[in-house]
Amino acid sequence: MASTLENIFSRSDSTKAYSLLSPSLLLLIFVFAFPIFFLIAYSFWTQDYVTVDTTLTLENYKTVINKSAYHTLIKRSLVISSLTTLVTVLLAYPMAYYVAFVVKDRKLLWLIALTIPFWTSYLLRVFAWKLILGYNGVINGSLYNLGIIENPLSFLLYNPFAVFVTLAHAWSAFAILPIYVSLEKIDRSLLEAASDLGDSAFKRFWRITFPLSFPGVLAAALIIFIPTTGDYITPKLVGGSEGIMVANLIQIMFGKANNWPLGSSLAIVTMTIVTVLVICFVLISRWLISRIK
Amino acid sequence: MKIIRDILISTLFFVSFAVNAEEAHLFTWVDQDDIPFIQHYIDKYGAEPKTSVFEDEDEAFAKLRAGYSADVYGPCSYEIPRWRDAGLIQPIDVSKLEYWEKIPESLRNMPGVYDDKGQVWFIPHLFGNTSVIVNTKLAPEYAGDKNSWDILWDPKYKGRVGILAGAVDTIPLVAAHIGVNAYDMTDSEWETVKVKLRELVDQARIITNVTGELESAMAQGEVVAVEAWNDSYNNLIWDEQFTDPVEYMQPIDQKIFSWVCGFALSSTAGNEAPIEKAYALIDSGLSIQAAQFLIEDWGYAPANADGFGVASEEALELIIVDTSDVDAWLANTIFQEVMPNLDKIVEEWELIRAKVD
Amino acid sequence: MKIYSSYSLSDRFLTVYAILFLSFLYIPVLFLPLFSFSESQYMQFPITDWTFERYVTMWKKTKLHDALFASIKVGIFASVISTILGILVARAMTRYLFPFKKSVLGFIMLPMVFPEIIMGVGLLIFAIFAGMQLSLVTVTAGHILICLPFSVVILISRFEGFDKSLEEASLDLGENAWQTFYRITFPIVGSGILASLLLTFTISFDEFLIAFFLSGEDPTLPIYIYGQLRHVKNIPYMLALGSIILIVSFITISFSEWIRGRGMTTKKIYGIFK
Repeated sequence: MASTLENIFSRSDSTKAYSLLSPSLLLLIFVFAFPIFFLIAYSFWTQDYVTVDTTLTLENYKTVINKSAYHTLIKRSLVISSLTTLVTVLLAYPMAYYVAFVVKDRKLLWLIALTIPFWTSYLLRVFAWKLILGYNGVINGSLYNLGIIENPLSFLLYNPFAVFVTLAHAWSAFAILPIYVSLEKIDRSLLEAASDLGDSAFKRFWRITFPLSFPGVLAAALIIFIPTTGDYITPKLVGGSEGIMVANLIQIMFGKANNWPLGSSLAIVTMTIVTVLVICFVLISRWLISRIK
Repeated sequence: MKIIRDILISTLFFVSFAVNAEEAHLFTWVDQDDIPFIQHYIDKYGAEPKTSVFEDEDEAFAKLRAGYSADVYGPCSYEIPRWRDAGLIQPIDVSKLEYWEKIPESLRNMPGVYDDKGQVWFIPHLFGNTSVIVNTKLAPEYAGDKNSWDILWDPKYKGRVGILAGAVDTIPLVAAHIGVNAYDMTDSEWETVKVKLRELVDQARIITNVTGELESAMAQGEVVAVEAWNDSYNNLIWDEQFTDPVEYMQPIDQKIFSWVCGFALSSTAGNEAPIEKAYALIDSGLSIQAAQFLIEDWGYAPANADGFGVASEEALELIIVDTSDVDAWLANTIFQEVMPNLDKIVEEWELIRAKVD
Repeated sequence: MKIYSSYSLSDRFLTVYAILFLSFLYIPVLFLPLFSFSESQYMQFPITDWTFERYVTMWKKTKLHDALFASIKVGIFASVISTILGILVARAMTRYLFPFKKSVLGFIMLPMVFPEIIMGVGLLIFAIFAGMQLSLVTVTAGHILICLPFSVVILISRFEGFDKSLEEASLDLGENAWQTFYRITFPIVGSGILASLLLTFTISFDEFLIAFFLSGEDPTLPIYIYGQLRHVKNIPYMLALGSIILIVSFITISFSEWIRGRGMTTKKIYGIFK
């Protein structure tokens, strides 16, 4: 037995590697690739009441593309997640900078403290905001008791604003990591040299630190943007009517509206748009950064 | 070695997920699996039936079509055609039911129960209404004989009303208010209803199927009126923290809606647990304890008419149904039925509700 | 090193910022336990009457026990299987050169950023097609998919920090591959394995959306909580339950991260974010 195992293990690197990878790859193919494939297939079919017609058709795509309601919905989702991404990254950057450059001994502790909230239940964290923004919630209750307002503020909850705040809070922790990593990698001696040559702190930051940290910023932006466009829980719990996003409609298509094909095409269209936007964003920002350098 | 380990793991995996399937399984509305509804079954078999719940029928339907199944379902009457066409349910042999005879004539013959072949597909269990609850302290101009659903569109209360998210409740209500019969409307009529729906969505603070949220918003003064069923009205009356007077509207300008919910027998009934147990589950829901519980704890009228005889005075007072002549009272309401083209209507309603249409 | 003199103005500003940031991160979550102690059934602030009652009576709900048990079951299987797969992947990634290495890694990591809703509905469609009944098995499969990237990240950084020559020495000395793994590799990467188990368990335990789409009869705990949150009367109990879950998650993850960090620099731990 040992010698057979030895034989297997003495084959080429590629074979060894792929045999180790095979269970995971199989998992990904069956639980990820095939489902997406079926999703795409479904988007070309139609459903009428209780029967599914598998003749290929572009009907669903036409509906999604032609109906302005779907445009508005997708646009709204993209706007909310873009705004969230922008603000979250902006807020996270100084925090990451702090841990990378100012903290000396306890970096790991800071990182752990910052990322732990992200691993806890998303559902609960979103619900916490319902308590804060609610009619008699923390903000309204405090303002009322301090005599600042007479009637509870209703614009806090059940709108895109609430979705945006909740998402920004939920994802802040995660944004820090990629930015931190690229900041940490920056060779300190570069900065010293620049300072010796007479560059001001701001110039050092703008011409050295920022461009070199850019891969991290980019990674953070993508890590936040892509999942938040497809968020379901936050809009559902705190979005009210105006804050409903694409994922909620997709779920409804697969649920009450009983139209899986339409839901599938909505999902595919959204995914395609997000991918295109991401690619454009990456290309444009890379070009911008190379100009700074 | 690894293969053996994998096999072991997989076996443990599936063994641990194996479920004992000897008792009948009830899949019904949230809380309709409470003890009083299943007590009769427990007394008969000495064991609790399996239960699982759904929040709204569209989700339930979607789940069932995705392969989920139980022995007895608790849909409302207007769902029956759709569930039957999808092959999810089978006819019921009423001779096997103890309490079938206790159900009033009008309910036993309502649409959805019998098909043209004389087979029974639906057993009424309870009935209730859809109307609007109004806080008459905050909105006194709508009290008493000035009850009207106009309050939902009153600009004075913009952002201070709540409505049900379900298409089967809200759309017929809105349609009826502008004189359209949602169960038989033309495309242009549907467009006029949509206009009214858009206005309503603009007015609403909360749109949800979670009646508790509507009740909670009323109780905190966040809204002055909500579209709701009777149990919300009772809950508000019984709420000790909330003391404002409320009325369950019986508008002068039109009839309110009635709906009947009940039981249907799954097409897979008898596959796991014996089919007699499924029938026992239905009987359990129709039992006198269940009937009494419905009146006293929920505020709904049970299909088992004997329930009116045993319930407490106070509870009976709150029930808006005229218990002396249930049939006549029901005849004066609009029965909620199936809307044609439901899927399309739901899609368009959800877009309006999301304020993108 | 004059730019890094301690307590310069910008340093101080950043320190204040950091503290504010940390507070912003944690304070909202603290309201969950806060409201769980409120006597009132409506979520009203400020809280006037306090009670500990919820924490006591919530355990009486039997459906809670079932959901808790279901989540634990799924969590254990998901974490064990994704960790095992993660070990294999990490080993392949750090020990061998092979074609398409980066693409394979990218493919494995994709579920981490992929919108969950799309994975959820895709899995639903596929499960129906494959004739599978929706159950905790389907949920577990979905969870393994999501947990795997995280397990891989942790284990790759662990394997990378581990000197290959130790293994080679052992093999030279006559131990076969299995013995080498068991006696040399495993103890050293053990902390990474433990960290991965803890993190993936927590991710699976808290996961909502995929479970929402794929669960059949038995809800997992987050689904149970979601259902209960929709009943005003039960919200306070769910807040109590939620608070307990948060605390346990917090402790578990802290422990996991601490284990993971032992003997490694931050550069190595988070190096996967290229």
